[in-house]
Amino acid sequence: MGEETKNMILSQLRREVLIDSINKNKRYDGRMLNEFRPIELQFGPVTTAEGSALVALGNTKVLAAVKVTMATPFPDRPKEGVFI
Amino acid sequence: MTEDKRLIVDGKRGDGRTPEELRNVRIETGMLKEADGSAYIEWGGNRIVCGVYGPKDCIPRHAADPYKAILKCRYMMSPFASQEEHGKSGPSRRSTELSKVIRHVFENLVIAERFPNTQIEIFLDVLQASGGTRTASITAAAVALANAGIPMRDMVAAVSVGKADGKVLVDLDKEEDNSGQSDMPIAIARNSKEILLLQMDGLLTKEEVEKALDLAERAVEKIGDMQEESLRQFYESPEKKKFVM
Repeated sequence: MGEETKNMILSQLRREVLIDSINKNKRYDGRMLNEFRPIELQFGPVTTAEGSALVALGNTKVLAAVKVTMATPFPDRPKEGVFI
Repeated sequence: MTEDKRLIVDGKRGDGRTPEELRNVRIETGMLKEADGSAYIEWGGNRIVCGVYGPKDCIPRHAADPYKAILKCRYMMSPFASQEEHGKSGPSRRSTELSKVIRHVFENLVIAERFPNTQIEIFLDVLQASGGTRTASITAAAVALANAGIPMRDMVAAVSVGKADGKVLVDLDKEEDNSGQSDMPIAIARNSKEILLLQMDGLLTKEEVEKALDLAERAVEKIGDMQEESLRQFYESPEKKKFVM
């Protein structure tokens, strides 16, 4: 069997299981329909940045950081900062 | 390199360490769920995530070697990683060099002949930097490769030694690296004691190099124990660990 056919059958199966469990008011990972994945927030993990946060939503983990530095404003907007 | 700055007062360094003392090191194995192997290292103010992928099909295909796996390494510093103003994203002269020297360390260790026509990728992301990121990266990558189950001839740990304020020091931090006289990162194999990486910035006398090598060998021993402990903990308690920076 070709790799492509195999993947097609597998994704079809996965889809069926997913829809089937939703119809039974369940999710394939055992959550309720209105249940979040575990959320975790952490403030300021990066000390070299002016502000930072680590957010985990299940296995999705995102680290955001903000740096603030001195800069020259655009000549037509002398009173505004620059946002990169 | 200014020489008038006092970095050592009463035998203690800026952060209270003795010349032979390492900064705090914490290694976590298996932080990334989707990677074949991963490690997270906190080394003083350094925070580095390492992910290892492979062996898998080689891309581009013409780069594949029919006799062994090829190794790819990408070291990257986040734009917010350093204390000074934000850097630019994308490859730089520095990151290209580091990717290359780190790859060379592992080309000497990975038994690549077992996986012909494949590639093994090592990704190193520096989230926070404060001196010694290349040595911390090598230490983390060794753990991540072991976690990925890639056969290696030996384990490796790395540490930087150097000279600041006229004294030979182990594990230089950012301050000591910037204002010191010399910095020498060293990677040493755990069992064979072979030196797999040695670079030097600044100058050292022959006696100082000998002393530095001796200090590095002892420091690497300690770091090697931490790597082993981290791997052991991961396999002994397989329940998922939280990613806490």
